[in-house]
Amino acid sequence: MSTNGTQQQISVYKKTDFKVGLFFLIFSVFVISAAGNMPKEMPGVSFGPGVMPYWLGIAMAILSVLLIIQSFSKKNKDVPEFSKEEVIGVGGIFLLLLIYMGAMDYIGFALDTFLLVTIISRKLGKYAYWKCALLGALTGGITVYFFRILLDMPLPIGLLGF
Amino acid sequence: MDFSALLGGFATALTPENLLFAFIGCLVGTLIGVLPGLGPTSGIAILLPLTTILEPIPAIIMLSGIYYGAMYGGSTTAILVNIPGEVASVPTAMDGYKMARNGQAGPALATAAISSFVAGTISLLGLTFFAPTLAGWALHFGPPEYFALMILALSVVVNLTGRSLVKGLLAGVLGFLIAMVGMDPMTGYNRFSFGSTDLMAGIDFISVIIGLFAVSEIISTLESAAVEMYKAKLDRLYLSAKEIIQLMPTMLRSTVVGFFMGLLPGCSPGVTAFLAYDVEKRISKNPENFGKGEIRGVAAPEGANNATTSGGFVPLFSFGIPSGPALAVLLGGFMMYGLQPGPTLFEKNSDFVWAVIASMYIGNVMLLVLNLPLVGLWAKLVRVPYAIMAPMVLVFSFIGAYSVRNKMSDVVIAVIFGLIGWIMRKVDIPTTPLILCLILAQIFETSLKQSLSMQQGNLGIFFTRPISATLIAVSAILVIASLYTRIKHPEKAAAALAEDSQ
Repeated sequence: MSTNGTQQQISVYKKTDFKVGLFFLIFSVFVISAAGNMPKEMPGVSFGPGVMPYWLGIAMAILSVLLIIQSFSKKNKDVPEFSKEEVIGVGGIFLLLLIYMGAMDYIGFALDTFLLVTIISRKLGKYAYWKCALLGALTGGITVYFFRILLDMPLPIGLLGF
Repeated sequence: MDFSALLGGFATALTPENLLFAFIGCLVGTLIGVLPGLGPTSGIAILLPLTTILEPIPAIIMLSGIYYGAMYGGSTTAILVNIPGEVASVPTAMDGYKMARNGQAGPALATAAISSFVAGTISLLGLTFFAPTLAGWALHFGPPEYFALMILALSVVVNLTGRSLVKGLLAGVLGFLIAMVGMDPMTGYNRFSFGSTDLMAGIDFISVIIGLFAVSEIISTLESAAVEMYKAKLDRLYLSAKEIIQLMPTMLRSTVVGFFMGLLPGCSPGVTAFLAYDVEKRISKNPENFGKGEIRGVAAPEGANNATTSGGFVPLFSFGIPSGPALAVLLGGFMMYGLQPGPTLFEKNSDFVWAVIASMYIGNVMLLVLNLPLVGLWAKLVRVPYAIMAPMVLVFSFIGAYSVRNKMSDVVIAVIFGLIGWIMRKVDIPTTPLILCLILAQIFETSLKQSLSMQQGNLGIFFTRPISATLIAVSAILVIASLYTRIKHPEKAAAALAEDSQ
């Protein structure tokens, strides 16, 4: 690997660690402030419900600052990096899953699962639509039969009644 | 050692229902071990909530079967396609795959299976004797000792932090904070629930486990394609008596290494397999043969990783301390059933614990019978494209999360933690410390409160009682030793810990 390449990678790593540290630092401020509103003492117990969250927030803040400091001096070769394609891909899957969960009460578990499996297998495998639909139907049908009918699990039923 | 309890355990484990679930566990475990990308941790995470329809004994028998079954399965793909199903099978691939290329796939697979069986069975004897003895010793524990035990369990976090100690500790703190969401068990005060009735009940750790281990794993490996299988001839799937005798010293050495290292918190099969391989290579008269198809290079890691799986149950049963990610998830399973692994387990749930131990002896025999005849089938499964497998595993994960409380909010949490888990992997934050702290947080806080109430808030109580002082001292030594290894051999420690932490 070229020297330029290595320097660029270390730089990315530093940036990632810096951002992670900053995120946790902001999060810790939120935790400390929320814990500040909780009682620190209560009758009958040695310390109140706000004590642990408060000290955990402090610990998180200290560790975040340490990570930020490390990000300026660290020389690590392994570089995690988010590529645009990856973020779009994972973001798309996440969105699809949110739609899957949101639609569950309206179209029911069976149809919802059929659609999810069909779409994901088509997107990932580029198989013929009928093959993906068959996989979706099998997965939806088998899970409904096994979990709802055999195991009596109350999987959501949609407006269509299945 | 109470032999009648063990015999009672066998009587329970040999009932048709428990035999069936031991078989299902071994079968699913082998399948999970065979498939790259799916590990025992995510496998147990997916199936854990689905076992709520079962009684605790068959459920834990099945989940344990998945754990040790995965160790068997991992070697098959390591030998046949050079893709270790598990981290613990990485050293197996180094010599096993070379043996397969040399036309010795059958003997390599037989060696892996027999070594796994021998080491697994011998280390189970160790588990049978060690676990109740240690648990009996720990029966005198009060709240301060429990708190010290939690400190000891949390000292494992240092060993599970991967490349960056700071990031691992941050993950641990995050785990504690997630456990704080909802009603405080001692005061009834609502923490971080923001008026949401769903959050008032707390974030269920099963949903978090499914999200972090199963959903995020699927998201991370969505790009994985089918692999080409080496067309190895699978004849002579056995070893001669002479070969077994020649390999026996290796199997015994790897058992000792695997079992005793497995007793140490934080030392999981991935680490001991490498250690046993290294030991075997060092004492070999022909170390240059290792990496070129040496049969001992297959026997040693396979023996060690199976011995470690049994060894890991000793601290889990006796103290409630999981030595690795999969056992941390299994600990969650115990708690889901209201069972608290630790000193009182052998006393309060004797039937349960001995049935699980007895089922492991039976499971080892099942795995030996199951693996060799079906090895061709297992190898073909590697070729199932991820595009087919991923959506099905996702659906099973969601059903798993839903089944705990029959609430869609748990599925939402699993998906959110799937995304969080994916981000954590990308930015190199280990997920295991988060899970461990999430599971232990409530006992930690409760035992701390109870202990301090005993002496008007004086922290000295932990250092004036001999057992708690000893446990805290041991925790300190373990943490210092881990930190020393990190400083002295940073590359070696980071590599082993990073592999192990995911």
